[in-house]
Amino acid sequence: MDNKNMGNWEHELKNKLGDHKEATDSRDLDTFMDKLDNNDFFEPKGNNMSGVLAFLGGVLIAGAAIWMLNGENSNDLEPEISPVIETQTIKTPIIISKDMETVLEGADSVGVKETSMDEDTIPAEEYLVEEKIEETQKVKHDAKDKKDVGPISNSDNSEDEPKVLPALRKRIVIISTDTTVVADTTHVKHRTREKRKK
Amino acid sequence: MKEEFTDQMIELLKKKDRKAVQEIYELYSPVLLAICMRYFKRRDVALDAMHEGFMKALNSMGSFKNQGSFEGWLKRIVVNHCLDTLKKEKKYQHQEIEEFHAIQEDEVEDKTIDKKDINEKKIDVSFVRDAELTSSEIIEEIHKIPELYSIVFVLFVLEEFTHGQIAAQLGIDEEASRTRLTRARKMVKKALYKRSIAVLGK
Repeated sequence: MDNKNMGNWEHELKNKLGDHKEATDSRDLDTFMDKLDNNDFFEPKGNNMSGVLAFLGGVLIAGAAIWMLNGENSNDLEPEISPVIETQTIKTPIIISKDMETVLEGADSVGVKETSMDEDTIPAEEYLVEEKIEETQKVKHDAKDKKDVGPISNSDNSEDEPKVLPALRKRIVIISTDTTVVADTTHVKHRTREKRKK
Repeated sequence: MKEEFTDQMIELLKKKDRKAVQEIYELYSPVLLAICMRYFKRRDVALDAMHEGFMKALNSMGSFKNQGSFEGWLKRIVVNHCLDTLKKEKKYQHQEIEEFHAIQEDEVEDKTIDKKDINEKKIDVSFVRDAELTSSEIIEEIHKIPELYSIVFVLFVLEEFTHGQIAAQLGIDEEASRTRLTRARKMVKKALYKRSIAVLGK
């Protein structure tokens, strides 16, 4: 330090300015704290916590994913077993539409009573066929015997084949959609060519 | 008492404790801002420099070994930051400006003061003492002289830097530092004398 060269007035100046303080207020402090926050000065604590939380969250998600995958795999390994459907013999009379005359003949042989309803009086909803008609044609026994005989085979050699109930016999419901929708077009304005006035 | 207080604080500062930072700021910011005001005329610029310097100090708390004064360590970091800021602005690195200011200063004619009175030898320093200029008024007068000289004056007189240190900090040679100090002294003395006369004249 070569401050020996300093004059007395400089020493006085130094002493005076050495004690000098510039007042700071709470706004200055807030500005400073904001700067520290923006520079992530207080980061470590928060980061550790968030890091731990993120890690735990990740572990949970991964665990859930593994658990779900395992569940799917175990399902895949099990053989698919279709539920046993018990079929019921049809006792109710079959309602047949107009164009099924041939079927009616077959139905007679089964013993199904034809309902005496006019074609016009039959409501549209009742044009339903609840069972395959082919099956009814091939029945050669009376309806009473049907219960005793058991299942009906499609093959001609019924006696040769073992009489085993079919595993699956799904009900087929055919719904006729004869209803016609008539749209109200009264509100539609048709284009008309304007006749040019001559 | 301040040192005892900071001994406890230092450990908390190393742990980046929010409350400790606030307390340290409230304790040292007035002193540090006063230091920054020696280098920057505007308070907002000085405050910004102080904040940056303070942040540097807080970020390098690990390097503080409790051997010296914490206040001295903090002041040195803030002063260095002020000089770095000025260096970036290249306010005192142009040698040609130095010559320009020297000529300009010699040619200045102040009609309010007799030229004989401006002579350094004849300036009565007691005037400055009698005028009882405040610290802010003195700093104001120092800022009136070109930055090129005022910085050397502040570093030598107020921060007690050697010419070697000043030369290293400002990137100039020691001879240039001495020359600038001689001119700075004249200018500061003159400025303070003028201000004292103005105050006493009232």
